[in-house]
Amino acid sequence: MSSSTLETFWPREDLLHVPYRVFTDAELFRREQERVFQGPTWHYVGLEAEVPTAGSFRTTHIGEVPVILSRGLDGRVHVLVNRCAHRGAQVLREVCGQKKRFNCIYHQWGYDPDGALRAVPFQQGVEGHGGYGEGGLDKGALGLQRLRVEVLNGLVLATFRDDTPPVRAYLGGVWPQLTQVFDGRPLEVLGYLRQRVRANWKLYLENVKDPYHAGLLHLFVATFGLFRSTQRGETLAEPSGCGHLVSHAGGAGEHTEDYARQGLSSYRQGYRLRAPELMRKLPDLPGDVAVSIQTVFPSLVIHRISNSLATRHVLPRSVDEFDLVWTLFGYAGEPPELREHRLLQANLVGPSGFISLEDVEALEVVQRGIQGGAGDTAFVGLGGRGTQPGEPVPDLVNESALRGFWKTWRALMDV
Amino acid sequence: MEERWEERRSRMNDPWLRSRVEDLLYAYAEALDDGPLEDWPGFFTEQARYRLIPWENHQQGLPASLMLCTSRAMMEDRVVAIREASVFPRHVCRHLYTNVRVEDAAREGHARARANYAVFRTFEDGETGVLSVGRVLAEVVLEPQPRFTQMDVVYEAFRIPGLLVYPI
Repeated sequence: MSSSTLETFWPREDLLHVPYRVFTDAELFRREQERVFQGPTWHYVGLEAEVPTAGSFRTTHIGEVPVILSRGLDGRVHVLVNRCAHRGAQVLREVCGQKKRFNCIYHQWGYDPDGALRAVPFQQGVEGHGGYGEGGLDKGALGLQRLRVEVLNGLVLATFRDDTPPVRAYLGGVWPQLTQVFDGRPLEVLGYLRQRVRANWKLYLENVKDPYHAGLLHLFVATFGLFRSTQRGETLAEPSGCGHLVSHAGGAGEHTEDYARQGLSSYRQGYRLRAPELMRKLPDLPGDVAVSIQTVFPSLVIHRISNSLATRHVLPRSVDEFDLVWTLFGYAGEPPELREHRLLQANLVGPSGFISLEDVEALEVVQRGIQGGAGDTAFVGLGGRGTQPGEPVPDLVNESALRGFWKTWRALMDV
Repeated sequence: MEERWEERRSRMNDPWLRSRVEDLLYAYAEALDDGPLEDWPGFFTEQARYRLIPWENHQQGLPASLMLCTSRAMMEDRVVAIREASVFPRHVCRHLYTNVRVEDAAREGHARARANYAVFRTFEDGETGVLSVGRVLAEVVLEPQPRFTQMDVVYEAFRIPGLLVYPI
């Protein structure tokens, strides 16, 4: 580990080099939990459709903190820290379910689905002995910690802080894109795909903000002529640094000569899908968008890849490991052929996805490659020095969004 | 609800039928483990459906799969994609099938089969791990030669360790 301190290891004015230490230093990971994950930031918790009725719940994490997404008996959506007010046990141990009362197994303290503490066994003791005595325990003051929540057309976000700006301001310029997918129609969850990746979580955020790799690493799209780096597209970083979008228009058929001229192995001619219906795009959402990848700092990615729609949730576990959860969805009551097609295009994404499988490999080779190189740095100078907040960058050969990500992260982390 | 064992047992005791389905499963495993991978689609009929399903989705009645092929042509595309257009660390897999149970299916000349499976994965650096454990629920047509008309592989791990390249 480099001997420089957290305050000095990354010169303030340097936006072009990323010290590898940010991916390997356990002390930075600890600081992230407090300043990024419990800082003035919004976190994806799930979709409203996952908790359809009073008492439905789902368990997940914000950073390392176990949380519950629930629907209260009053019908409102809540996000609660999944930690008993008594001794800290996880109250709900299931992935999902439906309960009127959330009971801790340890001493049977019981909570309403909105987090209010309702039951404390032997509160008054037994036959006049023990217990908390008169006024010794104020159930109203206890309860599961309730986080501030905003539900945006079915997308549930939560924050630990009161001073986090409202979600709409937080997302800024990418808000209109977000509401193209979350347009207010009720969603239908189609299923989950999960994987564990042996790399620092920020490598994934860099990956989804990096349009440069898409046509180079993902051989499938280039080989089958679906997307190329020469394609029309744009990268949009929001001034707050919290929202970001990379999108590619349809029509990958042009400019193959640029690949040939550069001698790139990732584009090969002569392959055709035997079942081309996989790549068919059915009429769906507005806009000529083949691929759009939106990120909401620090842990949510929303993708629109042909007709596949999903949230990707980044769950850091340690400095060199994170989980990635893909929640695939469509819209309730949509035509069966569109729903079937979304299920078919799940082949493109997730741990076996034709255009996502190798991201994990890329991240893991970086994590392995940087071991022992804490004093060394990555170079993210593609497409200039700036972060171009607020102005769309009209190409896919730039790293401006990576620079933007680091700017936001550094401000929160004070490094 | 799962059918109770007493109701199933009378229909699941045909050793001849079972040995034909076991042979098919073992040959299938050999193709995946020792190759060539190009043989994999040939274990299915042209209109066969193959699904690799997380147990979580299966339990909750959610329809999404990790892999879905609704025809043999799609399986062939999967093979070409793995061979020509995917980047992943080199590794070998080893399938073990056990608890194979077979019964006549409602469709004439078809059998329904279920089996438990475990797949181990060994990377080039010699590290071996469990890739996946679960159940195979399949339908087999027996003539002219046994082939799968449907295969659902329900894997039980809550999350895939890294990535999953080859079908199971």
